[in-house]
Amino acid sequence: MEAEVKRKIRDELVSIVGGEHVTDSRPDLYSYSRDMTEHEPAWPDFVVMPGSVAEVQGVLRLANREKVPIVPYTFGDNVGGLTIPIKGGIILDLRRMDRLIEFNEENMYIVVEPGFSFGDLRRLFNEKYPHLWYSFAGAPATTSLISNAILNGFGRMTNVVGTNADNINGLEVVLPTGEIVKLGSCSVTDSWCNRPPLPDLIGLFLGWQGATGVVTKISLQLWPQYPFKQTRTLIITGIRPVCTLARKLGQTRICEIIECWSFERALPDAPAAAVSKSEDERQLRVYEPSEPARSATVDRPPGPDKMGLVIKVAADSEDELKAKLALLEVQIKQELKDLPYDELPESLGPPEEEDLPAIGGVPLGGLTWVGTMGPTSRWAEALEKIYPIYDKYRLRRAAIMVPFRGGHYGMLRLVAQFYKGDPDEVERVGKCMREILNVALDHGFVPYKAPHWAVAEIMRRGDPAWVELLARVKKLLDPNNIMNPGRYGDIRG
Amino acid sequence: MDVPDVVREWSVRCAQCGDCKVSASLFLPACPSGHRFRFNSYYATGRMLIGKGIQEGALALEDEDVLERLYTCTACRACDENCGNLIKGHIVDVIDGLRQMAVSAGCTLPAHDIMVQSLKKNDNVLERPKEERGDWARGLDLKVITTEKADVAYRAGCLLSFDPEMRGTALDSLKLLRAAGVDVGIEGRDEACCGGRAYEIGQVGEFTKYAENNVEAYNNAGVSTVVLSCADGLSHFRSLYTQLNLKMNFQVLHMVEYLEMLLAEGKLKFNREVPLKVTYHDPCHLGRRAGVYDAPRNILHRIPGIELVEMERRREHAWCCGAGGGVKQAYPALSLWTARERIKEAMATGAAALVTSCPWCERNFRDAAAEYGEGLPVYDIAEIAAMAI
Repeated sequence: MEAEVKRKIRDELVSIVGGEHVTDSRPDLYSYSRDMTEHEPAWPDFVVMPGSVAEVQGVLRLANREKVPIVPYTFGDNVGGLTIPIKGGIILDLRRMDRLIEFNEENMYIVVEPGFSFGDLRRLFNEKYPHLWYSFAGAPATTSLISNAILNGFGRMTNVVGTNADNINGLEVVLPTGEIVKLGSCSVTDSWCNRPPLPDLIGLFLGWQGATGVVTKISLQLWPQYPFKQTRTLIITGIRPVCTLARKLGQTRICEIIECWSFERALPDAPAAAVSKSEDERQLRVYEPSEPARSATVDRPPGPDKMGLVIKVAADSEDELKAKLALLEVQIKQELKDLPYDELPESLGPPEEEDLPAIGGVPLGGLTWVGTMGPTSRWAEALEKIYPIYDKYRLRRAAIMVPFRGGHYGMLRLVAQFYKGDPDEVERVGKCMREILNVALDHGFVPYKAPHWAVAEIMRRGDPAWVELLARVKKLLDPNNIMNPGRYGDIRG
Repeated sequence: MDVPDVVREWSVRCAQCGDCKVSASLFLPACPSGHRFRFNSYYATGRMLIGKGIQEGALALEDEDVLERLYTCTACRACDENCGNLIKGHIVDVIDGLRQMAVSAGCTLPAHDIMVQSLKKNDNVLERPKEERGDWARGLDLKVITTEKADVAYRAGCLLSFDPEMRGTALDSLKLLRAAGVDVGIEGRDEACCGGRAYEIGQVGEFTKYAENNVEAYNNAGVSTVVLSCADGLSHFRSLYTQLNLKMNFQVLHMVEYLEMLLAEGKLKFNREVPLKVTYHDPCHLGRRAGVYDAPRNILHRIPGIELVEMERRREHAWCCGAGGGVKQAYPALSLWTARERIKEAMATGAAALVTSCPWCERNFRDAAAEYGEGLPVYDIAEIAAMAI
């Protein structure tokens, strides 16, 4: 951006949001140029923090007129490089817009702005609404409810409620050209209660990674909090048995939470004493090495895969809980037959979903993944192809599988931790993730929160008519291609 | 591990997850500068990235904005408390390291230069003549430990020694110690700054000088115990001095720890009623840095008439007063804003007074109350305890 143009844009941004909320200082720009992943950093030209919908409109109209890229941003803790401004421009940091607009207890929904976080909602539940709950993700408390939902993120109730995008009642969006549009029942009534039965345009803003507009309000469904709960954590040897059991359990409606985890050693150079007896117990918890490790590189010894299966059963009464646990036991026996398995005591299992977990357990600083959704019937087949890729790049095998909405489909997430201080390891992680993406796609698994290179691959593989439709929609909503360019619908790449 | 190694080792390990921004389990803001300015670079995550950027050469310590981001941190360690990733708390270590690198590169703040000049000339950071250091105790007929033997040395610290509005805390502390029959003395005009503020702004050379001199002085005096009213001083003696491997032939206790011990031994009794509803602010240096949370509360509970109501952010989740890390001197507006946030939280409890146990916190709360017209009285716990004997 030329200096004169930049000065002019800066002056106008200051007039829209105030000088205190515009920055082009180097430490600020640097801190918005990267995230926890291995993705190549890119510097924005400005970071702007609007405090109202009117200010968002003002910034978008300016950007549209000057054809300056806009990247919507809340807290930057996604694991996909989604807010790295690959074409520069303006980071639109929305965290000042953090109001609770409506808490509708009777109809069980909430209307909030982008800066309203998981932590904010947890406080509300704690203080006033202990009988209600939300499908909280295993993410930091600062995570934005809006960002999580519109990116098809999900929480720990996925087997009941699906992704959090499935729980959206309505949206308010500022279009790239500055108009405000409401979607859902709020578009024709004063109620934010429901999404059907109108023609559903909400999808124009879901999964697009901010490429079609800026969501400034959202209505999300809340759920009853069950008073009776119990968690079981099974340690099972072999990929196929655990995948089958997780899929079948997803389809029974017995369980609220079903999560299947790779159960490899937490860190490759952990001291032997720390991983012997307590290795299994530590796997699902924060791992604290006595000496700081400087590498995630591992040469995996041959041997069977161990998988952890976390199952939470929830009920309205003790009798219901007992009945569900009995049914669960029947299902486990039926699927595993005589296959031996271990079980962790409840006290050593994973964190309660009530606890927004610290992300602790990324002691090397680097975390990335290929997160996908697809057919649960092909989990094992895909994983058997994917695990050798980890081995080839000398990285720890790490997968998470979760059934969604009664097991109709499910998540397959391939995770890699890495040490950011080792360029070779960073490069290997990048190559590994790219290879995994292709195998996942080959098996019917489609990435969510996909980094820009994965979006490019998805669009390359996509049906040409679908890609063309994406481009037409994008062009219609964002004629100057200012919104998070280089992602969905941007056929120029 | 030298300073650049500390920065390199830990800044690269920050996962940028943001757990440091809010108090775990309370989900309330934890970082004063981040909550005030909101941009990433004012949070711990941004400062860790600044460390990385400086190593990469993408950022420079000579950049005034970089210095501002580094020095608007009050070093309260709330980020370290909430970080689930760097378990042993290395965020402020990185910020300390970056400040030391800045000083080595000749990049300092004018307000801090004044403090350092005052230290070199007056042995205090308040630009007050060193000859006046012991004036607060004039007429008390106290032993001076440089010439007389005493079992316990009471250390008033810089603020209580020189700030006329704050001296009551030192005087009440002596009143309590004497009431308990403690054989106590002071250094008087020979007392010098603990050097902690110098450390916090990156002036390690100055800090080391004071650490060595102070330890030598108390060792030579032969006291068994040094009792401090200043929470900053306590944490510097306990954690920073020990990092220098200085052999201390005395134990170091904060006034609240010593009072709690005197009460437990029956040497001190609270006989008078103090009818007051109070809330207690945990100083960062006494709480998160030294782990002292129960002693002040135990003392307050033993004072007849005192009703203690707690703020939501308390103990390890306490919101900083805003005075630490050289922020009060270099960024007074941020410092007072931070204190006002705490005063508002204190007032929301319905308490009639805010009690703390660090002169820097007390000073900053009083300044913020005056600046913003808040009417909440602020006391040191020794002042409240002295009312009860």
